[in-house]
Amino acid sequence: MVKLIATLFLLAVVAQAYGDFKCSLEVPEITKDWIDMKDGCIKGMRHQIQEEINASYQYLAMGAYFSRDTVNRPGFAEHFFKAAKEEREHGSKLVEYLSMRGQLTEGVSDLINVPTVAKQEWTDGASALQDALDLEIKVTRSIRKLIQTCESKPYNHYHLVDYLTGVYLEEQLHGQRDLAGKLTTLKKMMVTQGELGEFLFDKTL
Amino acid sequence: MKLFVALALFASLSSIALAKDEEYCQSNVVTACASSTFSGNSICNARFAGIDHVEPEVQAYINAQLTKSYDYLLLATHFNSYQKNRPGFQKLYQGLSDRSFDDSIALIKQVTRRGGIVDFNTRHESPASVSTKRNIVEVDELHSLALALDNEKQLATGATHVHSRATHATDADRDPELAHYIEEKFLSKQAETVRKLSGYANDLAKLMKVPDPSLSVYLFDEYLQKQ
Repeated sequence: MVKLIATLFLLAVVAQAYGDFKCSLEVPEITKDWIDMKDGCIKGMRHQIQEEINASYQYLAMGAYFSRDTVNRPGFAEHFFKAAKEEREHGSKLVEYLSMRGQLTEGVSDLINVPTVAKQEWTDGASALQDALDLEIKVTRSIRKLIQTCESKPYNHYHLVDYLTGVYLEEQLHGQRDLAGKLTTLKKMMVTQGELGEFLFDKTL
Repeated sequence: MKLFVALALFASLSSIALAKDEEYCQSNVVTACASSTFSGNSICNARFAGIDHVEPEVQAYINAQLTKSYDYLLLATHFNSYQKNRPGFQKLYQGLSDRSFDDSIALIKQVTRRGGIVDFNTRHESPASVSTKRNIVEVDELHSLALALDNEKQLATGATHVHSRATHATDADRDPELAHYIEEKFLSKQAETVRKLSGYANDLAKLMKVPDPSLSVYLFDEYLQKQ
């Protein structure tokens, strides 16, 4: 009787081992002491990622507008498409940073929402450059706020703050200067020449 | 005499009507040049063939591609966590995300090349569009391949829909240029991706028919990294 029970038990174990088609693997328990990012900073990062994606979307809409045949400003369009790619890249680099710090083992599905855009048409190239500059200012401010959150007491995220300052602010500041320069030149060209100024400026972009 | 005047008037009116259709741009130029100022935003446009008919479909398809590019970005992120640690899967999905984003820009260029516009906010209901409700991306390896395969089929179905709208319409609405573009830039590439993912899913499922599939999944990820 004992033998029979033992055989049945063994059979059950074997059947279990070979019968199930197992797709999800166990996650082994390892120490989490190395994961030291704090909630406020993580939340700020998640917010910044969405900001970058929003900016990318807005730039796509600008690129699409200046690609129209009735607008026909290929220089502007290319400039904005390039900016859209860059902003998306910025967003995805921040995502990678979070993964590097041991984050994003959960809560990935709602990290990015598909945005909408505030504006899809512009009166001229100058107003679009103005909007682009405003957009960059908004992103820069948001990064500064994120830096403040992440370096505040009691826990200073030195490495992230350094990365945000050295890489992100660096790009933002140069980007803002570039846009401000372009906008100034374009406005000068348009004072008396209007459409001709914009036409010529477009070809230099 | 009265009859003659009436006839002449009729003839000239109908010739204007004809000009409106076939010489839209020229008649606009004539009108603008006859008036003292040109105040309109545009005088001519690039629209011809079935662009009116296919434009909303292409718009829906652009939005679909963009939505999928974010889905894939998150799927790649899921496999990039230290707990998942599957660089091969990450590479696969990051690649698909980048492709969808670049394809969106290419489609924007195509539709504007044809005199169309893009609307990023309105979601036109069409077989070319996809739901913006995101799938849960926290799935296991085999499941993710299934998810990606379904996604790719949806995108291929969307492109096929745009294509059939462009080809199977009444004469005036037919748009061979757009159909050709979709065929050349999308359909065959999509067939390739669908086939590849189906192959991956079937391979991985076979490799996982063992009591503990961890090593199979690890090796398959190694393989994906080299692709």
